[in-house]
Amino acid sequence: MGLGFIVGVLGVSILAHAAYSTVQFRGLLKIMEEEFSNPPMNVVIELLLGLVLCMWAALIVPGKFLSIHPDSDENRMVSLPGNLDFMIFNHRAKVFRSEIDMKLKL
Amino acid sequence: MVTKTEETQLNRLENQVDNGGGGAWEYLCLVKKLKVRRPDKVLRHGLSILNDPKKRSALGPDVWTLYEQVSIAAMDCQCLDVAKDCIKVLQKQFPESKRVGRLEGILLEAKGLWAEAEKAYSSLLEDNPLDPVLHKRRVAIAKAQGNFPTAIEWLNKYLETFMADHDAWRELAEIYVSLQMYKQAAFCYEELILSQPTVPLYHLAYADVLYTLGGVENILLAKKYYASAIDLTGGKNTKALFGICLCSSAIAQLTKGRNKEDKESPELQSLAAAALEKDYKQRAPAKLLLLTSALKSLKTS
Amino acid sequence: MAEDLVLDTAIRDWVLIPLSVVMVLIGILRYFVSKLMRSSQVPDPKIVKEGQVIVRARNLRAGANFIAPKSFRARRVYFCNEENGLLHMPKGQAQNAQAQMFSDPNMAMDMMKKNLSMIIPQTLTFAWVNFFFSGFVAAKIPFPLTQRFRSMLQNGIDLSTVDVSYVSSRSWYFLNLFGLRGLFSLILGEENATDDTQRMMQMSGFGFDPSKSLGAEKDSLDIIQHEWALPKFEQRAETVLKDLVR
Repeated sequence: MGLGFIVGVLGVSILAHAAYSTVQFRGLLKIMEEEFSNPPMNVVIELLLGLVLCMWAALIVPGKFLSIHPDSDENRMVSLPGNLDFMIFNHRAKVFRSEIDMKLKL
Repeated sequence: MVTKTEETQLNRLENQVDNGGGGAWEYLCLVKKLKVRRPDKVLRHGLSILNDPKKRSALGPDVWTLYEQVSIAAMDCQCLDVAKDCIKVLQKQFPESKRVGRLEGILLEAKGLWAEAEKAYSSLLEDNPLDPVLHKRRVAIAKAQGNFPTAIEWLNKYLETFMADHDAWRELAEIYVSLQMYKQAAFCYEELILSQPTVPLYHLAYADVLYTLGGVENILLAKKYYASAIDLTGGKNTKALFGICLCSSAIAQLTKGRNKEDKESPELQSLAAAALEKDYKQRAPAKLLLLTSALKSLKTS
Repeated sequence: MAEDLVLDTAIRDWVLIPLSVVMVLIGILRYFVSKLMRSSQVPDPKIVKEGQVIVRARNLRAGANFIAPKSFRARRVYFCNEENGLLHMPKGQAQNAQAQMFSDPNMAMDMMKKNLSMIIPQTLTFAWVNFFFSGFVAAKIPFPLTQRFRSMLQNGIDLSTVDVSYVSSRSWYFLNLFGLRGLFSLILGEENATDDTQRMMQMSGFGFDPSKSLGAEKDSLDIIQHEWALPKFEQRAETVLKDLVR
């Protein structure tokens, strides 16, 4: 969590910085009375870097990826649940009394 | 459905709780979530929580479901006094509750008073004729008395209305298998496969039934389902591997006389045998000899 | 101009805050009233059965490739045949829900109760707000907005010169009416929130007809092609085992 979160914050702040410097650049262009065609190279690089960091953080921070393979340990059924709605009680417990003799204290 | 990870988690928690390591409540929750039947352990650890006022009050409203769980476990262990006490507590808390009424009916069942239980259920059914659990309990009563035809009749009537209930289909399939009515059981397992196509255990059970039915066609089909079970479990199910070997040898035997050329590649059988040998080498080296001789007899026969 | 519109603090104390508090309290009151009036309805076995039939038919459609062609065809006939198939609805029997509603007074009663618990308090509060607070500029939102929002935020003020970020009291009422859902779900619990918009949706979609969905399910079951998946599984199992043995 820690590292991924810090990276995410860093990425967002880099993106914010890129946005801010683009705004500044446009202001500069307005003063110099030039047309805006595309942002300067270093801002583009900054943008890409921020994007990569944000994506990485977004993949890491929220949680782990779960397997979708039916044969992975998380998805492989090894036993069916006891069909408890149909459970019946006349089985060997009647003969073999369990040795638990606890009582519910009221 | 109990997956591998959940099973290991359950076993770990069970060990921990049995050795006094705490985590009893988590264990009980897991047992309830996975719907496994561990009555003695639920009874022991559930009672230890319920008898400790501090732990009990820490649970808040969850304590009532724990009472329910413990009472059912107690009936399963034939500790009827404990069950009765639990139900009494619940009754005091929730008078008029249908869920508690159901528990009382189950208690009558555990005592073996079938007629009384039946009466209790039918009076509950009058209020709510569509309660699936009550219908299922009636099936269970018939089953507990050993009266399988009636149980089947009730179940069929129930499934006519609630035909998407796969638990009931499973129960019906198991009853049919126990009565050796394999054709009917096969139909039920088909229904189960339809409702949950990715559960390998249903494929396996269906294949078992088909293999038992016999006949070339059925055994070929059974082999296919064993193969799908292998695919769904990644070859980690020993029974499916054995099934492949048995089916292949049975097919070879049945088609020996005929001059039909064998379309089935024999490769699957040898692969399954190899996988079995590897598995045994890893997990039970002492039994390896037994396995190899059994496989050899399958091949030569 | 709009820039120097100063709001009296008395407006805040006597309009803005009372209005919000009243809206919240009315929402809670309505929740409890509707809870009191809610009658537990016994589900009709026929409807339950139809729902289950649809689920099972859908399962068959989804998992068709997992069972043998013979079994699939048998099931399809069982569901779709024209005489007594489960999904087949004789034309005359397919009564529409409207008629069913009139034939069953309980159902109409339920609808009435739902309607009453929703409409009566709403008209009352709207009348109340109109009577006491009409024409106030009650609040100012801290960011500028475009002209399009004027009809939303300045309902009841017919001045085009007022800046759009000012909110009239009637608009504040509407904002509260629709925007308090989150708060209700906090106070009353997740699913208990009195959700007007959703309830309206339910109203319009009330004419739900089970026979229609049965027919749709029948049609889609009729047209699916059965491609048996199991022979493929044999090859896949072979590759799996090859990987395992190696």
